[in-house]
Amino acid sequence: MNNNSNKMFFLFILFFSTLISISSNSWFGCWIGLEINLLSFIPLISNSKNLLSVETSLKYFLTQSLASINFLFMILIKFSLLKNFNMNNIISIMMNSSLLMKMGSAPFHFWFPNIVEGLSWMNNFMLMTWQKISPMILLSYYFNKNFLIFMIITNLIIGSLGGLNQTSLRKLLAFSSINNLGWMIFSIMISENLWLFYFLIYSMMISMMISLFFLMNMYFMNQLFINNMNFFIKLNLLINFLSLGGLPPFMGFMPKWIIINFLLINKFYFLTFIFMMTSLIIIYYYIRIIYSSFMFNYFKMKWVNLLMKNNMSLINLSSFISISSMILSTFIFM
Amino acid sequence: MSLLKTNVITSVKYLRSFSVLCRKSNQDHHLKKCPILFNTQRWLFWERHRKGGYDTTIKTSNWEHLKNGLVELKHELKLFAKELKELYDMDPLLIARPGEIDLLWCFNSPTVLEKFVTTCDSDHGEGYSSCNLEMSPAGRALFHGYLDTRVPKDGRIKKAGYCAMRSKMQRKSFKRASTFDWHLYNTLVLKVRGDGRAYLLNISTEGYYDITWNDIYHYILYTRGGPYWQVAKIPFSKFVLGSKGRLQDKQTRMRFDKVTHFGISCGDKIVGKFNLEIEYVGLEFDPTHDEEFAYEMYKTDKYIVAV
Repeated sequence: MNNNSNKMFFLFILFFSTLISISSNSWFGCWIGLEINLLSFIPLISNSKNLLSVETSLKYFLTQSLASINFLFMILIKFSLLKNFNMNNIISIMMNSSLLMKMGSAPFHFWFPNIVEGLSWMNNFMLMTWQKISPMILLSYYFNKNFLIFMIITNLIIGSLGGLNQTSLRKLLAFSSINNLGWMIFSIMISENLWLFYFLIYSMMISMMISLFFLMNMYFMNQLFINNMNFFIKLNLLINFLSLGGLPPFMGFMPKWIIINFLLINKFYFLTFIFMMTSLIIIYYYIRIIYSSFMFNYFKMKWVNLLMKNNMSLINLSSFISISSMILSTFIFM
Repeated sequence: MSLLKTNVITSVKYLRSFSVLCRKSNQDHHLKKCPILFNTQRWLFWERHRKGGYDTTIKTSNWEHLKNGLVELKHELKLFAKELKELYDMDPLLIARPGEIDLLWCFNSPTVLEKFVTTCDSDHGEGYSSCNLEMSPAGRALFHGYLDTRVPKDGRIKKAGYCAMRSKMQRKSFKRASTFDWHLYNTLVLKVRGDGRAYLLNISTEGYYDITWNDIYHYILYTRGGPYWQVAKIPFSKFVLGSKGRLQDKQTRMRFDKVTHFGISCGDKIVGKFNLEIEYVGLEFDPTHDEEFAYEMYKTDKYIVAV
């Protein structure tokens, strides 16, 4: 990689911009952080050697700047109409909408699978994890409860139903990310600590999945079936997918369990039902991928040999963490 | 003194280019909005029209539009219902088995020919070639015509002589434009019976922005003239990227999920008849093929832009 130092520079600014956004004491500071975030992310994703990534970065720029403009305008309206409390509802809805668009949450999610399809795995990882932090926290500063509950429901439904007909792994993870956004929005309504907990575990799971796909250079589902995958790689795939779906005893079950706990404490019974049902749909399409790669051995070709000698330790470690983290997390109570 | 001279020369050059702009062509009704000029330099990358300025709309009144629309409504609703059923089935094609050719078009009936459009340079008064796509006596599609490299004498065109056939845009229900999705495959298979001439296979991947509207991947198919059919299996790595006919210095991978058109053209500068009989055009997945790009790329100097 020739321009590694460029990437490090922009990555540093990316991290810094999120910190600016969440630690500012004025809405303008938040907006500035979001803008710098956008400006520093664009050079990371636009790779001039690939036409698709250039188009993707342009689309990303357009959608995010639109959301930023919306956000800034709503901030200004809020400042000017501060004394008129009748407008609070509308302004909070508009501000929340612009931040939801920044995150790629439904019903403003149409750009998200499209852009995720055009990025490489590492850029996708940044988009799905780090880019969600500042809009999430800004959302928690001024949210409209009823509006957000409605958004959670749309997120869950679109995330689960959208991923059903996908053949591209990136789009699949994009819809899974939209679904997980629903969980995250609810958790941030409860408390920031809870959100942080969910977010960290989600990032860990996504990082394991993405590193596996990155190492094997897999972007489409047919690549899962063609490669002569080692048994341990298949097992890792199984564990990670089920963990992402929230199945016990894997790591992904823990945050979902705690959120369901808080849902029931706050008497959101219907919402709990929707959370459960959409989780089931998501696990359905994960299992569809897993059993195909495990059981339907399409063809074993002698000249395709997946050499994973150097990276086996990482894969084994990630599987171990996914399985045992539920048990290990009980050690915090010791 | 010399400085003055160069200034005069450059201004004359610009004047000349502007005077060509003002020159009127014989066939005004074809090119009213934006005349195609090959003598001048292009100053912009920006494309105003998707079709390059050629006015190809058929003028109909609003009432006729409505009537045509109503006739098509039933068909479109059926297509929409079919799409919903596909969505409900949730069973997309996950894998392309090696050794199997998935046909895109099998030219065994005249209805398939309606999915293609033929163009040649005489359509807009830019030449004298003619071409036709019809069923051959053997029951297959025959793309034939006469290629003429004579240049019309009204000074707009420098070179002439091309005939092409291209598939129509893929449409979803209600005429929404969609693309082919070829990510499962890595080889294009054609069964043709040529006449010994070289034909150009064009895969067009029009993107969303105007910069990529003219991106076409080319491959020269050399046909044998004999009475025997030839099956040409061309991996996608052999295709070369060109934009408006000019091969690009910076070659990029084909975007398999954004393929919009497939076409075959004849433009080998040989005056005479051409005949190309096509039986099918299909796709295959060849797992043994691991070439990424067939042609060598060179490291260029830093002053060469866009590479």
